[in-house]
Amino acid sequence: MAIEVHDLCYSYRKKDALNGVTFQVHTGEIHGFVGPNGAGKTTTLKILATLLQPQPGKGTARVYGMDVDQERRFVRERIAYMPDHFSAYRQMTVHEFLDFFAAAYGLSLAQRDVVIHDVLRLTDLVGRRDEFVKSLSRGMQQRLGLARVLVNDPDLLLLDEPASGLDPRARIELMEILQELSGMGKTIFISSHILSELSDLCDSFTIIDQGKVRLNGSKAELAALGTRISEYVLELESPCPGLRDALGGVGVECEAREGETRWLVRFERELVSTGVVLGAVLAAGADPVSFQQNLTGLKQAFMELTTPGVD
Amino acid sequence: MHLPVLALFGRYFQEEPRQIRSLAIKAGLLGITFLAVLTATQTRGRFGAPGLRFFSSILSVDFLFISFFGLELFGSAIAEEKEARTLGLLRMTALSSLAILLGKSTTRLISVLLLLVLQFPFVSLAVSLGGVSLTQVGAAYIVLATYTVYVCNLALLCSVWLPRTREAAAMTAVLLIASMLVPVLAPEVINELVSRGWLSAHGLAVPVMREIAVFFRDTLPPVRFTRILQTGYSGGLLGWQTLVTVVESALFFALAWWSFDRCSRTESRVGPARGAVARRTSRLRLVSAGRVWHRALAWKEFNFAAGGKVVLALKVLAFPAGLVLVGYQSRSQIGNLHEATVLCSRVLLVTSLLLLAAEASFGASRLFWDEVRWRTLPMLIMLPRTSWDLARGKMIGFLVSMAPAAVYLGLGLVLDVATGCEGLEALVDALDETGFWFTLGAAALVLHLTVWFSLWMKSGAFAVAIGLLVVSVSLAQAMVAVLGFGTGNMHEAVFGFLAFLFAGVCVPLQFRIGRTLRDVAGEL
Repeated sequence: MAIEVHDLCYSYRKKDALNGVTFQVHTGEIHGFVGPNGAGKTTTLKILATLLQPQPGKGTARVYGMDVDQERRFVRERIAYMPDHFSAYRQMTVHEFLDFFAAAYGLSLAQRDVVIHDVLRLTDLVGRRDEFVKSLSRGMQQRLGLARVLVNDPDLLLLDEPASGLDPRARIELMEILQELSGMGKTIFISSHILSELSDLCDSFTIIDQGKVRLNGSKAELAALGTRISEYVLELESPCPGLRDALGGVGVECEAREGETRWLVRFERELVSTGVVLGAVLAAGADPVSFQQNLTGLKQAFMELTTPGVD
Repeated sequence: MHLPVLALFGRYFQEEPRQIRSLAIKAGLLGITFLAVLTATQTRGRFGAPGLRFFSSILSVDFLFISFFGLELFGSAIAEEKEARTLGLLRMTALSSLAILLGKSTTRLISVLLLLVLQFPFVSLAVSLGGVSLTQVGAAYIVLATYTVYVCNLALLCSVWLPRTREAAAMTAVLLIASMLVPVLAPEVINELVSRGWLSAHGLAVPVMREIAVFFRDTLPPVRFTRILQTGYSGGLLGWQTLVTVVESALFFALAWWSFDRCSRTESRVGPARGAVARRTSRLRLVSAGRVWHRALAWKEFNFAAGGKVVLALKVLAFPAGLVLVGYQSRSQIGNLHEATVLCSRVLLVTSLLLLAAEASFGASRLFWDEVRWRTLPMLIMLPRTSWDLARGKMIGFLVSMAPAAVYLGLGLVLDVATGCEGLEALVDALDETGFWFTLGAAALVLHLTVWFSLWMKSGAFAVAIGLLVVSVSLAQAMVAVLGFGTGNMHEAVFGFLAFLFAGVCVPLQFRIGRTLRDVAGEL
């Protein structure tokens, strides 16, 4: 288990920021930590990043089995944290900045050269290595922030709203980098107050609101929450005339979109399995290209789980 | 009628009383005044003219206070808005340039003048103690008030011209020192030029220049204080100095007003300065930061906080240049090699010690201040190192930059030993054993306090640390005076105890700094 948080509470003077937060994150997955503004996301991330000390007797937070307070030095060797604001030594060049952190983590000169080259290539900043940090655009600064947290080759990345303030292109590029990192075996814990931003990226979610965890589970669990009906999007290579009847025969409602190559499929989860649905599709002679859960359900679940209004 | 400028006044006077620095400065100044009153009343039988002694000490403290604290207080007037990138927002409101300048600078000026007004009744006790008249007290306070107005407007001008508070404060300091030194040195320079035949002693030019220099020298606050505090002072409350200083201040303000629009039209992104450190890829790669050292934090502080190789080279060259200058000035008094060596050793000892003290205090105030200010502290705290490791790494960077002063101090000591240890003996005479340990303890405490204060104070950490030290020493002195321990072993015992106490307080302070570092990093 990469992260285990149990009954964690934290208060700033009289205001409770966290109120019995409990969740787990498995090793190797991309975990979305979602909640409205003021829900307690940054406080949780800072505790996991060893920046905030858990208050005595108010729950535990462990990273790779190590207590974030008692064993914080060892925890820091395995994690990296990117705050919700861009912070860097703006007077340095990109190379100096990364070289500084690589040296601060104790890497030798030869290792530093290799690591800096690798992270610059991964974040597509090779051509910017001699530019000043202050001259980079917001998107590039965020990529540099990501490059910085990768120099010590951490197992777990804690990213606090990394996409905030980025334009759509920069967001997509950032998400692609995160997917690449996930492919390299890193565990990524990413927070956001925008669920749709993470819905394609994450394997599992924790939804937090007013300092309490509302849900901790997989994407499917979240999408199915609060409703017995599962909704999927089926895409076909070409229209299939007998599809509606075939699906109707197994108790599945369907609705054609975009010239009958794209179908919205709804069925009662307890009565029909996805295997049965796919079997009916193939039996009808259809040629499916993709069969994906409809993520609009995630948004609905998020709205149901969180309190209306901005804190 | 509602004036937009009142909004700036309201904001300042609502926020200012809540600032810890402001409270500490006021408490420090009033504390010193109170202690001085206490000391003067207790010791009035032992010295002549106790009122004059008391008033002179208060005047010195006030003058230093305005010169020292005023730099940053007044220098931040416009620069703080530039740093927060809010000057553009202010300019978009109904506030005119004049209203912004008045609203930002006059508020600060009023708060300092109010402090002087608050002090006045206590200081008037000097008249009762004897040795000084009410006219002298009033005249000296008018000089102080006009000097405050002068510093305020000079700093305002620098604040309009420069993007950062620190730069504005530094520029104000340089101009202030120049305005004090030029009128004092000018007559000597004119004499030198005349003796070399570069200026003709005949004609009007030289006498006029001399008269102007003397006129401006007489308007300097320290010169005016000396005149006012002379026995039998017969001048009035106001002097030429008052008028000249007010006119100069008005000129500075007018210049600030005239240049305000030009200097605030474009809002450059304020960030940490790189100074004279070149890029590795530039032609000046010789003075670049180079590859990061094994001790990464030391590399960073040396290059980006202490100025890097260029500043190091300047320091190396400044000592020989200073020696040549002093040697040239004193050439008539140097008869042989021995005298020249004695002069060299004294200049090296004094200047290197002063420079080391200045660099140490600068290093302490910058140790973590930049990391907090630019919100980079969390990145450092996340490194798998202890707070002490971080502080040590940073201190090494500053120590490297202090190497020239340390080397020249060593050279000064070698020369002093070679010429009979006169300088060392003078130092030993000045500081007895208790004094030596007391100075070390006080220096350690001030450096620790500065580091700690800089973690949560926006500015003025070193000044507040010094203020606290002055208050504690004043308290100790008052205690010594009141209890009649003025001489002998008890005096030494009290200051020996203080030395021990100061050094002892540094240990828990180190733990406190470590804890505060983590707390501040968590809040950023």
